[in-house]
Amino acid sequence: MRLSFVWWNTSLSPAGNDRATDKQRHVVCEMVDFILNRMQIDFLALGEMAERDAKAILKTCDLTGFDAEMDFPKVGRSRFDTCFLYRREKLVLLATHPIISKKGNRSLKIAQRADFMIEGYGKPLHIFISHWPSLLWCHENSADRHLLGVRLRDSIEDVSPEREELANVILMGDYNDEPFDASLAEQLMATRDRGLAINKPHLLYNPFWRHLCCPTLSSSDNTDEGSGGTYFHKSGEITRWRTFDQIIFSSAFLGHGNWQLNEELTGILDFEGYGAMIMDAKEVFDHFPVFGVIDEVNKDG
Amino acid sequence: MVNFVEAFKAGLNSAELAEKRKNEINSVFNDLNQQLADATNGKVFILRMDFREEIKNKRDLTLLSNFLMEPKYYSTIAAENKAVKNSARELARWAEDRAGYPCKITLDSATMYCEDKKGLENGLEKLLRDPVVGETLRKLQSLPLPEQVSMEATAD
Repeated sequence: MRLSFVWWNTSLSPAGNDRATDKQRHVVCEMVDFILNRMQIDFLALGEMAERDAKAILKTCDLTGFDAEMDFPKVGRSRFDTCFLYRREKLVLLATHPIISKKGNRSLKIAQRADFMIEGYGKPLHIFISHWPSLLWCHENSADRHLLGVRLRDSIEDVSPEREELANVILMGDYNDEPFDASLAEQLMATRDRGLAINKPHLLYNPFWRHLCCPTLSSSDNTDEGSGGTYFHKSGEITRWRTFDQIIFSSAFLGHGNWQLNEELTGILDFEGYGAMIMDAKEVFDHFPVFGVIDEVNKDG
Repeated sequence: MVNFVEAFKAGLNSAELAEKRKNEINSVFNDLNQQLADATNGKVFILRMDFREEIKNKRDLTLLSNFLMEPKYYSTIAAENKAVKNSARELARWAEDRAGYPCKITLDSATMYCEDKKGLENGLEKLLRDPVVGETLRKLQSLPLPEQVSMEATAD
């Protein structure tokens, strides 16, 4: 059996604030339909969503075989803006848990935890979906960025009963931090070093280190306009591309359990025409979806 | 050589800081109870207490294993009616760091990390606004006093 996951910041309603046109909402519905029904993805988490966007998906997309969890829990004056859909034939949802950190008058949205049972397996799968504040609201040197990583790490350890070994945990989201930032690399302990993660099972493995820049080499005509990450901001002074969207795996998926990360099928999803929309300032879209796959380990070898 | 004296001194400082933070946490609960006492004529009181974990499937346990099993406890924020014995009811799960903060409130399925005094005040405010917590507090507030119960029993 194979399980596939997609995270996509749709850009429709940042912090739950409805700003998209019906046409832009229609684009998202078409892509959701494609991801679920053509690509046969088993779990799709969406960011920057609000109730109106969720209703459009429920009304427009063919969701045969899928269940949707589209509550947007309130946090202080804001709301979680993430939601997800999953294939009920493979995944059984046990519970969802919003995780927040209250500091002074601020509330930081750490993650939404979704606990699943995989059909035929005894051990639960914990998925943490995060949309961390943008650099505009939480400066890159802010202590809060460290706190986000620390509390996400705490929450992972909470579901990992065995010391020094993490449970079946998959993290995904728009962290507004890149794989090398301290919140993810140091506090969360999401390493680029797969070998170390195999030997030290308290580490997480972040395959998105490999997606920090344009995958193609420079060409002699210098006309290359390829993407170099998952997020595009036109006014970027040093770079216009960032890898904010990531899917991170506990070492349980690196040979310590029944499931193995399939890194060949982990990366950035580039649909024809969508890249141009991301680079078009008139459009709201600015994030590529990212995907990841785990495969059942053949116990007979 | 490891500088044990420096570590010892750092430990003393940490202990002092932890004590200060724990006093601050206690003061937040004291303020909460003062306000609740005024609002409920002293009936409803919020406390931090441990509850014993219930054994979910009692049929699987033999009498011997039941006897041998160490009881497990978990920490909560609870509420009681001070005039009624054994009236304490769990409102949320509670955990406190060795150094005081963060405190962790788990209300239904939501987890709130409270990083400082203001964060804890906001967390407790959210707890009190919860409909299930509100219902528990309403029931506690309207529990008949022991003398009322005995009077009613006599009247029957």
